[in-house]
Amino acid sequence: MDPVVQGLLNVLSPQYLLLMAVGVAVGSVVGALPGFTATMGLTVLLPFTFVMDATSALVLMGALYGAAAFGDAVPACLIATPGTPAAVATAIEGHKLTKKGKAHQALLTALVASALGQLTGGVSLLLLAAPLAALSLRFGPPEVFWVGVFGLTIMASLTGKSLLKGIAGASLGLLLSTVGVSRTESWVRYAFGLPQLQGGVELVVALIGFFTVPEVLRMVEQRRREQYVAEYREQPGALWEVLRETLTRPFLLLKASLVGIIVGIVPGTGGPIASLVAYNEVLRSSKNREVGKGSIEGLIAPELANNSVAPAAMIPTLTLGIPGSAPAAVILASLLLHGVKPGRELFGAHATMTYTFIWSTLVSGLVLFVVGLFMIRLLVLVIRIPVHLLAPVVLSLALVGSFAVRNSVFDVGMMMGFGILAYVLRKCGFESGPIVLGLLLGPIIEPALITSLTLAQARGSWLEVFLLRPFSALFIVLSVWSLVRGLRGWKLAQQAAAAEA
Amino acid sequence: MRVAWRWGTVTLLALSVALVLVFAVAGASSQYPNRPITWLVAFAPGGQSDVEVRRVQPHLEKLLGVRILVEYRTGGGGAVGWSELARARPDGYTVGGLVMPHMVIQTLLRGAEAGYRLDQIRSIAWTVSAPNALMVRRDSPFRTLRDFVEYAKANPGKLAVGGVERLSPSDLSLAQFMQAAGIRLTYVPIAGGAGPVMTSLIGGHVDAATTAASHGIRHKDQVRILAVSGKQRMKALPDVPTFAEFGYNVTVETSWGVGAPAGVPAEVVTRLSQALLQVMRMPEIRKAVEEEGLQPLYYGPAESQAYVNRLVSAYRDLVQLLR
Repeated sequence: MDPVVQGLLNVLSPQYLLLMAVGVAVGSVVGALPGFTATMGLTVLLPFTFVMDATSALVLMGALYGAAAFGDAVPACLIATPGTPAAVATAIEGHKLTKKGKAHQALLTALVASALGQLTGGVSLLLLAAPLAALSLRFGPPEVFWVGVFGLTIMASLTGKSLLKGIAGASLGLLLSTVGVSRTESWVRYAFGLPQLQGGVELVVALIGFFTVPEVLRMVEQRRREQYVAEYREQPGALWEVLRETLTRPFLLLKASLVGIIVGIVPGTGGPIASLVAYNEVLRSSKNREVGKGSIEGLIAPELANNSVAPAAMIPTLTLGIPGSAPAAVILASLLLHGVKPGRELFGAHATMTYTFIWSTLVSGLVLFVVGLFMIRLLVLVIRIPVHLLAPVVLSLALVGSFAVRNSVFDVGMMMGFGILAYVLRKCGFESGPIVLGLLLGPIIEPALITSLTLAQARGSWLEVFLLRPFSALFIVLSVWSLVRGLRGWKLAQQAAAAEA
Repeated sequence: MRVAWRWGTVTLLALSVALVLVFAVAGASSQYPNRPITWLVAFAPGGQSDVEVRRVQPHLEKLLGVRILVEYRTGGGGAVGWSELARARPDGYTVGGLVMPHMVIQTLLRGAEAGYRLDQIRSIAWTVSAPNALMVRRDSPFRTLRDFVEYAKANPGKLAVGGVERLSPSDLSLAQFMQAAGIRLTYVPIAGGAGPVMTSLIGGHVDAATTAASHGIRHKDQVRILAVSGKQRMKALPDVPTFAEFGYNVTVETSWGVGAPAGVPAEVVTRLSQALLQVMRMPEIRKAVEEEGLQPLYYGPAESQAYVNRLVSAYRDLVQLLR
């Protein structure tokens, strides 16, 4: 039988459906806990995958990877704390929606968009793996550099009232990203003789510090006025509302999927960038005035893009044997340990296994939707917890999470330091968004720049390496355009705000 | 009164439980191991260091009768993990994956800034090694190492050779090759391990790449390996010549091993190293290792320590090439 058909039949067997359900449940939980990421969930599963056949291992791990990209939206929507770096945009838009009393809609949007992203990403993996793998090879260091620069231009969307403070924040983030042993040159920078600093600032630790801690402090501050994080009433028909809002926007769905798939195959990037770029795009293009102030539309884009990254990142992993993301690297290692070599063999001798896995990324989107519907009914009750109980729980989650990333007490201290810094900075009008953006993009931009500069030395032409390659040129144009549009949009928004006041 | 009584009981109970535990631990510690062993991996999940522990983990757990807990301490090119290993309690319940020549290069170039000294880590066993390879794309005009050298002689500095970071085995092996062949190439450091190096090569962004031969073997459909380091040809690559066959002395190779904090009891070292080597000798493990383009090593405690010493003296001169 054709391996594509056989794969589909395999996936629909109870054994694999059960594995997917397990993967989805574990993935949602690790995604939802700040400090725990899909990569960590996968490494925990890794020993168990030894006793399985390679196909089961792949199906289980793939389901976990995808579901983590939904789980991280839960704390982001409810308590403005991104569960993983990929939920920064969700923490902004989703939490504003929650504040409007629409926590249920926020979570449902995240779920629907995540499941859809899983589907579109899965379709790209099923139908376009070969051309997309070829495309991914076109992205060398110079292209990755410009993708990073393009990422920086969305800063204007994340900044508050003062553009200058936004730029200052992003610069601080970039500076923080240089701490530790430099990624290409292997020099030790800003470590002050502390071995713990050699590893640099861990993104997840900074994320908890910059988002969770100020949020907890804000809860405590406003405890007398606001007993709950947000108002919440049971709203019948929420799912219907979300589905209508989502499915009537095919163009937005397509755009967000494209962003996720492209970013997914570009080496060294991933969910965090895809979700922010997609969010920026919906902010820019939407006529809806609610977008950016807590809307279903604004939440669809980042969540959808984030989930289509996961299957797309498996494209270079499966076809070329080069992992498209950190979780994909663990999945690849598990394959190698099962004696399966990626590349031609995977689509030849092991084709049935490969297509079973590819179908499973699609089907696990549906499994995620069903499992998620049940989970949301419970999770949304977090909003009903009064602030004086919620704040300490969230703070302890932050402590545990920042420790768990590298099992380092030093990181816990660093997280608290960042938290206090972020709180003070927020009072002075500096948003956390640009800082985290800088921290996120620094490790992508800087090594790509250094590698490209050395490359330019060998080629004897700076111009050829940086400007004259087609994808470099494309991203330069996109960056300039995004910068101009972003600045104009920011200016208009400020004028509108001034007029309202 | 009642409250005080209750607290007294609780305290007494807690104390007795603690005492029992202390005795249990003291009594059981006569046979090592009796509780899970933590294995620190200094590089990201999915990397070769991770693969090496995962490969032996199930068999080792069966042999030792305890669980192996793999924990990742990444950053600083391994320095973060090895500093922590050096500072761990030397009771045999914390061990870590070692990688050479990374450790020796770091300590030689960074001194105290590396965060650990080689004498703080006791080698238990070295299990796997991979020669370094120089490779080009399948469609490259360079069919042999001779073609490559001739072009480089005519066009000094024009060839871009990608590798894993600077001050690394890739960097060093290329420096060795350049010196031996009397040519000048441009070394392009690439971040993120061997994966991105291979993407840059296959994508045609660099003209050649130098990293562990196993990566070339994994992508053998797309790349051609021109030469490998070491004295003998590799079993997995019988047609690929060594640098030495052309008269170039290129010795850099990467090897993976296991170590514990210095001061770990001798019987622990013996037990662990025997178990590890027993696992490595299993036919299916050996076969898997060789098929991946790696060479099994079977260095026990004494050979391991000698191996490290040998590397230290060899690299003391070699790193001068990088300064």
